Amino acid sequence: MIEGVLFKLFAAVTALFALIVVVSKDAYKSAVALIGTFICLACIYVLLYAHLVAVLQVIIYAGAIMVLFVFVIALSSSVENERKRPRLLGVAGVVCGALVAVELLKVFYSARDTGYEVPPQGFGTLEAVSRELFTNFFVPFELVSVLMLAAIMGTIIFGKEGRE
Amino acid sequence: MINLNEPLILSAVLLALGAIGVIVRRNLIIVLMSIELMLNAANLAFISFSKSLGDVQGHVFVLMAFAVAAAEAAVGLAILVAIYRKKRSVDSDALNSLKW
Repeated sequence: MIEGVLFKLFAAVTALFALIVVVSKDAYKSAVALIGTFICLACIYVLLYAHLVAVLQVIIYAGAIMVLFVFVIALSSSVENERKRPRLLGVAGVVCGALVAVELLKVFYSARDTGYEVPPQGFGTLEAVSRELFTNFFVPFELVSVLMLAAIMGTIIFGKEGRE
Repeated sequence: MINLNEPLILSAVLLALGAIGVIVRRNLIIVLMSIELMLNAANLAFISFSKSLGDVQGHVFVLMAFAVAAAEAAVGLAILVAIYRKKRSVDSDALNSLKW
């Protein structure tokens, strides 16, 4: 009972924060709203029995990634005046977004709940996820390190770009 | 008890908001933030299906998505800083050198 109420509350706050991210003129305000979105999503993950993912969401997204964003906003002058957009593009954007939402909702409504009211014991804990990660998904897990190496090299190269 | 449909509706809303942000906004930093929003919408769909099926594989996919999102944010922001050094602007309209 309480779960449903909490979920609706967090979902409303998440959608509100997400809206602020998209419409805010100030990049700092967007960044703070995005942190709020991530933390509310972590709360929703807890309600969906994804405890490990919720913790990592707060550490990686709300912590590490948003620090990067805030640093870059601070480095580039955020006094950028967004000139008046052609109205047509704004309307086109909203129409595209609405179409995406409608199509997704159509697909999602055909999804049937298979009726796990409460998932199996130990679902979503560190142990369960790690067991899956280090057995069935071991090769992808190792390949992530290659991706990370490529990202590090790319960041270094682009960081040197255009410096006097 | 949370129905499968409720988190999926939230996921669709988040994805649509992210898509609108990518199309409508000019500030490249906010465009990158909207992309992060869309990635999170996908993660939420994974988690809700995972719970509904009682299968933990969806969580593993979300962890992979975390890694990709972190790499994407790092490289994307590095590119943004490089652009800012050259153009003194993070406005997407400043990037018109390919326009003839």
